[in-house]
Amino acid sequence: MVDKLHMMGITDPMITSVVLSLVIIIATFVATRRMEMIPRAYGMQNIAEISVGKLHSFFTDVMGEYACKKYFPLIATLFIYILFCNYSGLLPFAGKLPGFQAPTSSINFPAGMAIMVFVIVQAIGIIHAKGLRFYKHLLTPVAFLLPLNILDEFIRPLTLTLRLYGNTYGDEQVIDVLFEMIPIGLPVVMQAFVVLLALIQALVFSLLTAIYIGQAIEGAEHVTGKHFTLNGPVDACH
Amino acid sequence: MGEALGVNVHEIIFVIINFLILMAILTKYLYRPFLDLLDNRAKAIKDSFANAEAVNRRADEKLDAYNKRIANVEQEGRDIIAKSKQRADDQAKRIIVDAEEKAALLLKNAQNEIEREKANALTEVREQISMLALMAAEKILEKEISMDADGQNKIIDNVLEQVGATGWQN
Repeated sequence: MVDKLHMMGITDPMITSVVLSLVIIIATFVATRRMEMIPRAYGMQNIAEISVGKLHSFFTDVMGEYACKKYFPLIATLFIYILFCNYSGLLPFAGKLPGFQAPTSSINFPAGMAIMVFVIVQAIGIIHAKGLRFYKHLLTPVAFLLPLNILDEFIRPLTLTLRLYGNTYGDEQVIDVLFEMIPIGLPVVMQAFVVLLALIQALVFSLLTAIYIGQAIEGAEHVTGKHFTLNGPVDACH
Repeated sequence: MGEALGVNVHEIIFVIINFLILMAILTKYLYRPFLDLLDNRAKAIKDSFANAEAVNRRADEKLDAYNKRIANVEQEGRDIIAKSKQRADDQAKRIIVDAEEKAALLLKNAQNEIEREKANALTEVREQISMLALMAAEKILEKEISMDADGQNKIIDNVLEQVGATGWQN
């Protein structure tokens, strides 16, 4: 069956990605099946509630209340999806079984998400500035920095991609090498590190996305002279 | 370079579509319900605190009012007793004055009655005396010719005895 999928152009990371998405969706339905105002201490609702609540308060601190309220689903889904993708690489036989490969170990997945983030950030800026005058913020703080600012904009997706891909790919390669050298003990220690690193990579990707969105909104505020709040734009105080 | 890194446009497009679908589902079934729940819970807790604060404030106000009332109760009691005493004194004075007035009125009425009775009695006596005098005069005139002075005195005594027998002096 996997061979048939391969023949249709569906790769192992794509299959794993769909399976992981289904796992996340099923976990979501289980967590939200019977929601209560006071949930059970160790129930799925409580775990999901704490996770969503902590993520929301963390990104509110990073992006501000307005940006977080509008773009929290994007940031939180990036974090959850990348985390699951990263952790899938730690499962036994990841990359060995046909149809099972950590999506983030393929450069196409980090690249796809980075390109999507780049497009969304530009769109957010343009929408908030009500037009292409959003790009006037590239002339700040001084006009001659325009080439550097443009370069910075285009380097962002590249760095997002290579950071996530490089770390995940590197972690897998190190574990493989250690497993071949000393099959017992040392790879487990490395895997324990990777658990932490995978979390950090997911957090870094989503955190940088949050910062880029926050900067896009700030750029739009700069060119429009408005301050965006939950109650709508207000004149910025100078 | 892209091929060396294994860049595959299909995978890139696939990951974007997969991600957007996942985000849509999680937004509808995870983030929105939980964020709404957290908001509602925060609101409920806030309301509970505000309610508790209001109840505490009302309780404190009542306690203050009771303390003040307790502090004033002794003074109020003294005031009430003093007022009652004053009212009782006033009432007693009024009763005495009324009694005196009534007594004076009764006395005056009695005196008036006595005066009136006395006047009536005098009038009656006068009428009796006049009548007796007429009777005596009548008797004298009847026997004047045939009677001497002793006989006239005797007639007068008879008249007086008759008058005494009628009891007019009583």
